[in-house]
Amino acid sequence: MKGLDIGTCFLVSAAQDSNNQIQFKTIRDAFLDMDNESQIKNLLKMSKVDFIESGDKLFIIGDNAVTMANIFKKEARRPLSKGVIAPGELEAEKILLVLIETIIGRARSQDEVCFYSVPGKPINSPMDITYHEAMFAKLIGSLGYNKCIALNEAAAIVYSNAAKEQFSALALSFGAGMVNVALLYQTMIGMSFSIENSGDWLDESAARATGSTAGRIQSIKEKGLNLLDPNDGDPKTLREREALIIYYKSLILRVLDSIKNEFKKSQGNIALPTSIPIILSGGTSLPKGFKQLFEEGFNSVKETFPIPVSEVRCAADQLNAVAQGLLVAAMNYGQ
Amino acid sequence: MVRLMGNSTERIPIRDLGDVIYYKQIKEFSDAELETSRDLNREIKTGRIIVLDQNKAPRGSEDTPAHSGALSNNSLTISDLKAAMREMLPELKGSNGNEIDLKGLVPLIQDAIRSEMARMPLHQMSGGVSVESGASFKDAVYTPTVSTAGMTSNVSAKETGVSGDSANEALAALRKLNKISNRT
Repeated sequence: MKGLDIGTCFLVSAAQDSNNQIQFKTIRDAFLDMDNESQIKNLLKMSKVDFIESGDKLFIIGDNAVTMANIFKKEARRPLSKGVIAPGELEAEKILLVLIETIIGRARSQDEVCFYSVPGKPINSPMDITYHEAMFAKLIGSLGYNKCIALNEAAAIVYSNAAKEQFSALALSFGAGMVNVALLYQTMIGMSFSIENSGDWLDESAARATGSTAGRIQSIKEKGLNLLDPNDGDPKTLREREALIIYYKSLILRVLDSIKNEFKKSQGNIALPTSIPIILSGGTSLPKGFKQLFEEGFNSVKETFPIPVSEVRCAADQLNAVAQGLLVAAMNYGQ
Repeated sequence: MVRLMGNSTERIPIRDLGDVIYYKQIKEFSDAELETSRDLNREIKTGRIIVLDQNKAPRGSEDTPAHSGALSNNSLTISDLKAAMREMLPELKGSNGNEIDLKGLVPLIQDAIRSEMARMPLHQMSGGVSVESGASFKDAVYTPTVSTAGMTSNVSAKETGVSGDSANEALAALRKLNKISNRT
């Protein structure tokens, strides 16, 4: 059984081995293309850089692609954009197939099940996920998985982090491309949607505000950002940190407002008998102080929040929560 | 143009338009009619009429047929109803063979409508659009072929491992929940 989290920034797989260990495999889904010359190829091999060779092109993959893009003052290409297959990236699907095979391998038997993540329908964009869902079913199916099933990304977090609440929770996955939201009651999805602004939007917005670049902002964020204290860090990058905190607050309030609005629309279908936890996950929720900042935002709307909330907590493993939840769902399905 | 639906078990007269709306009956009115009719606006405010949707294409007031059958006039009179019920339920003729007890009619009307609707094919009830759950294409859905033929790679993933205890606990809880759901 396999779980496959398909994210804008990372692909993550989860599988259980014979020693009762969950093995996670992670790969950054970014690539950089170069001309296929033997000198370059040898250099890459000697430097132990991951690459794909295809005809007259070489594709450098993963973190090295981002690093080398910075060196050559280029942009690393991404097969996924805002949570779905990037439109116009003609080589995206082939690169994705290689990456997916790297992390989940070929199916060991015809009955092996693979659950993969799909985003919720975005509320602030006309995009739909139909093509994305069908394409990934095809890619995964081509690796021998006859049973490959899509599950909402945020719902998967509930599977891995809300067992003690009988899988009833409001899960928020703050990814690079999107924030995914799902409200589940005993595994039944009462409401799900996504917002097309998240980690990348934070980087781009803070970059515009400070006259910097998104790449620089991202590296400042990843080096260590304290959302409760902008002074915590290198004084030279204080402005950038302040800008990031402002946009983080804006993002949190937007997410909370969207939950209120979307809940009102689906209110006829949901009747929660008990209070449920809010579970925060995703790479964009990693900075120090995110949970406290979120609670601060939540407390400002608590009186009018339509869903009874017992607590706000972070997922046990914010980067792998989705993959683990997908694996749990696959294991349950397989039995 | 606005589509409205009656939301009261009582008949709702719209006297200033010479109209009437019944429970669950859907009717269309023009924007001008909506603007000028005090009765309509009052009933919308009280919730006895609900607005289904509104757009800028004004049309005359007309019934949206919820089902085929005898009740196709905009203004339904009691004598129309009695005549229809006489046909459907001859046992209602009463002591003099022609009078119908109105109070007794209501539950019978509800039952009669339910049994008529149960006999109707789905497409008639939903305005000509057949609604089936679980519909799918028999043939494989077309998606472009993705081939990695001719591609070679040395790509490797970053690997980490954690104890499977939490996943096993989650799985056990899920199966327990499934058992409870199946029993109920």
